[in-house]
Amino acid sequence: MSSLPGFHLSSSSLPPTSQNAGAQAGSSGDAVVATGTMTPGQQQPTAAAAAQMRAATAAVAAAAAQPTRKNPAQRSVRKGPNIYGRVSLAALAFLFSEIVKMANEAGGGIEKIEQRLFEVGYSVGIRAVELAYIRGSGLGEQSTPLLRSTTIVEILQIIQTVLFPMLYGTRLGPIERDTSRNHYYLIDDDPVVSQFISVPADMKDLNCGAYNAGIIAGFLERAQFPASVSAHNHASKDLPSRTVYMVMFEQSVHDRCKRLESGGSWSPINSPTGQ
Amino acid sequence: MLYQLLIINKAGGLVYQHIFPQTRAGGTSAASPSPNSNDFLMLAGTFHSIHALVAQFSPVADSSGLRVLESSHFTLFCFQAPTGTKFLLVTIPLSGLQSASSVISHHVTQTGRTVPTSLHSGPPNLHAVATAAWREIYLAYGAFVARDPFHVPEMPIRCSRFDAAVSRIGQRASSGIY
Repeated sequence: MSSLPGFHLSSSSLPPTSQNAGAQAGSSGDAVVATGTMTPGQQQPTAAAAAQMRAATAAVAAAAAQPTRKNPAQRSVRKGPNIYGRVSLAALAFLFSEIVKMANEAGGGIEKIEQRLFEVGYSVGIRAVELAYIRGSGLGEQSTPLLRSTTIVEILQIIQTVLFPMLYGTRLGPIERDTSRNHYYLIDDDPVVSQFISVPADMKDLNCGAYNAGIIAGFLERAQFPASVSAHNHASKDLPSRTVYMVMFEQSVHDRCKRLESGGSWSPINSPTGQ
Repeated sequence: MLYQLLIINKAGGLVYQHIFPQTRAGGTSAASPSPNSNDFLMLAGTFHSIHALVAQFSPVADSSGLRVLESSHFTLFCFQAPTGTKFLLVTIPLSGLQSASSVISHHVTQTGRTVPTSLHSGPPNLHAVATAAWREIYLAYGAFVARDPFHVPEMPIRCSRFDAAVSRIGQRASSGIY
């Protein structure tokens, strides 16, 4: 509690006032310069110079008339991807290509590379939970809030219908369950991140979907469903890069689900897997 | 329609070769005495030098070098990317019944306004078709080669997705879509 007032002070004094003041000073400064040279005192404006001046002031006016870009911190996180703006696929592809290159050049076998990709994805996943629930709530007109998922099926559906659309713009494929071993499979027909990657023949077992597996693992961890997740190639003739994410929840998750079914209460799980 | 695609890096090394499958009436493939890959490496290096020589010969400054090589049995288009990578597209001849002697014709200006007259005597718009096919190939190159983390720039291209894309482009070109 003691840290609250300080945080409150700094947050209220920083973003809106200083930002706006700076922006106004900047634009009005431009205007002063433009009109200052137009005043008759120091002038010898030829016709061409005057025309230039008019063009310059017109440009300033046009710039001012354009809607000012909001500070990203002030934009609503509720808005869906259409309003919020999207990242270009090429930019994502180049960035991910560099990530894979880094993971590859660090050496080690395929497992090592996948482990590194997994870790990068994990750090994305643990940050995606809050945002996914807020965005997922904002979908549709009436915006019914998404409640905390308490069952395994619910949390997997959130991944399928909220998390992946938020990250990649497409839903995940169907969810399958191996009842005998309590494994869950999330099927990705064409992972966006590996759309441009040709895995060489000598490391054909490498699946760059390990990054997505990391995202799912981090997401589940932060949503209090600790699980181990791995990506596996499941290519078919039509879908050469189809990937299956295998999700194995920890026993504590299954125990809690059973307890909930029998009328018990929900409880967070302090997972020992501090990956 | 398209016979072959060769990609030459800016040092003159052959980094990619794709032979488009040909079908002719009678079922036999149009088998030419095919040189082995080593020969192709040498030919690519030779072409690279000739390309540079042609640019030197040009009476006009800033020549972009050889663009089209025309013979009785094939036409070779050379497209150069801003990075210096050359894409050679070997296609059907402009006119199959021309005299056997090869004619090297090339644009001397960068804008390429001076189109050799022989270009107009062949099948309609071969130049346009080849250019359109090359645009597609270049897009695929940008998508599947440049963004592939396992491809090293200026080194031989071994990207299965690029192979697939080039095959598709070849099929579309032979079905007359361009």
